[in-house]
Amino acid sequence: MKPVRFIPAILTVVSLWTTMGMAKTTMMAFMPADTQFQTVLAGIRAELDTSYAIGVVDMSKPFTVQEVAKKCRNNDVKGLILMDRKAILAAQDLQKTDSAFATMPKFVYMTLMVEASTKGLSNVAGIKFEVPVYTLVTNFRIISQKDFSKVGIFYRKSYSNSIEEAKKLLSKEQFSLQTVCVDCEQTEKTTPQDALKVMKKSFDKMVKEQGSEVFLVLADNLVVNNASLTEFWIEKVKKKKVPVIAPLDMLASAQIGLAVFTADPDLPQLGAQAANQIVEFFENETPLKTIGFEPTISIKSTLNQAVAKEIGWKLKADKLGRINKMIK
Amino acid sequence: MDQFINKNNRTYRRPLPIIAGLFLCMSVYAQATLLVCIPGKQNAQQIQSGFDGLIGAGKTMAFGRIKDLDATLSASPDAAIIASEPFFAYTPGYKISLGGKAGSAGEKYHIVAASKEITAQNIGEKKVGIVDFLGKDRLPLFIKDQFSVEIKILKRVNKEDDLLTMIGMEAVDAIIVSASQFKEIQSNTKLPLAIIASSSKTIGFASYGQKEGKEDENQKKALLKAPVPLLKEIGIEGWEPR
Repeated sequence: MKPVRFIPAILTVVSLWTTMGMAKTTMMAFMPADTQFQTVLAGIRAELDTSYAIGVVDMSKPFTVQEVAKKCRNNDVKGLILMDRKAILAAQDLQKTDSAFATMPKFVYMTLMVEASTKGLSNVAGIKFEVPVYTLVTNFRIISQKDFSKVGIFYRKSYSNSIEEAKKLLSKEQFSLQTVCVDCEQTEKTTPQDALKVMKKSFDKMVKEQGSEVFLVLADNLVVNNASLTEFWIEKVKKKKVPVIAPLDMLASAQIGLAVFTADPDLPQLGAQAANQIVEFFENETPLKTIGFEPTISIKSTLNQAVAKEIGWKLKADKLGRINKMIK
Repeated sequence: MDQFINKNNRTYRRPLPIIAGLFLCMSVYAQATLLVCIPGKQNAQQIQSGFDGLIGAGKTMAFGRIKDLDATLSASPDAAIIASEPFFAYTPGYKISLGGKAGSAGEKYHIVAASKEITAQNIGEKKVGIVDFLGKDRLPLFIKDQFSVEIKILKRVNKEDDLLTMIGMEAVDAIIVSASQFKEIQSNTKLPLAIIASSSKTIGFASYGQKEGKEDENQKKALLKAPVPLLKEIGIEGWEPR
């Protein structure tokens, strides 16, 4: 038996012993093993100092609530980091079985519609995962030569509150958001085909009568799907020469070639933003209610210059340094 | 051969390359004689390659975050540092040998808000955003010294571009920016931004500080020959000996 085989194990034990010995605050992250979740966790760890230790419960593997509760108790866990829906459900189950988990602070990241998804969880704060409409629109204006002010958007009824909030914020930047709801007049469940009909009927009117200069396509399967892409969006954009911006970088890819500008959350910076919330709570004693659910602040942007050229949308060369990925 | 199989038929990766890698990293840390950290622009890679060319590969380390600079300082305690001037005011044992200049020797910092309800009197109770150019512990000291206020909730970001998003999204009530950052932000927004307080002193740009008693004249001379594009990456146009 070669002793060298034990070196990694010894190093791991020493490292854990050192970390746990120094740690004042131990947290447990409930998350899937996927790369993007690991990136956010790495961002959190990089920003926190050595007085924090974060263990992981892999939500991709089978687990029981009792096992997770035991792991948390054994490590004297002071707070939970919850990433994705399955993690939230696990925390809800923990709350039901053990009152200590009800009072424990919970930080929720990488979850869409986070406020609705965390209903039923107590002592919770977090970051909204969607790239805000405000961020997309203002960042596109910064790189555009045209000082546009009217932005068209199709949305579903359940997004009404977000749309109203975006309207309010954008009005301060002198933008007007021109909105069409794709399912507000439906009495039965709206299908993508129903939504497509609404969009086809409204698009020209929004451009001609309301003067929409840019369209923001939400990452919503009622608004963007295979049928709407091939039958509507790509054809309309080319014909009307109206730029599309979206919170989904796939739409700016060379294969799809719909959007001129897209933005996704910058995951390491999302981790840094999350770490700030953790520090706020544990070190500055800011109540979780005050921390609340912040918007995603940092983005990674993509610019499809080929689409911009095709529709004749001119860009400010001196501002393109802000773009993270260029598609030529 | 990177892998071997034990008697239970389980495959292991040889730990030796990992250990060798660890020692290699430690030796690079040990040799680093110049540490560079100018947060906010996300250009640490460009800065690294520029100083590699100027000082020599393996002798410099560039960081995008003060936290990483602080962590490396313990391994390279004698290394010289290029950082924003206030960094040296709150890091004992360093003497500034070269001060960066960009038209002037420094600039004012401002607290900027988009609402008339935010004032110099109530700013202490508000959420304020800032690029983390000094680190978690030094930033409150800098703010107190320059603005005579303690901010209740300070939101630190690593990217300058995020400041506008923060104030526009109302994630913060105000931001603290340098005069040049403010000018750039104003060119990107129609928000009614207004200065509600300015720093008591003019704050120096990127500066070169050497550990007292460990001055390296050759390194200083090499820095004086830094090309303009590299100086631009750290936000200055030239050096002024101190």
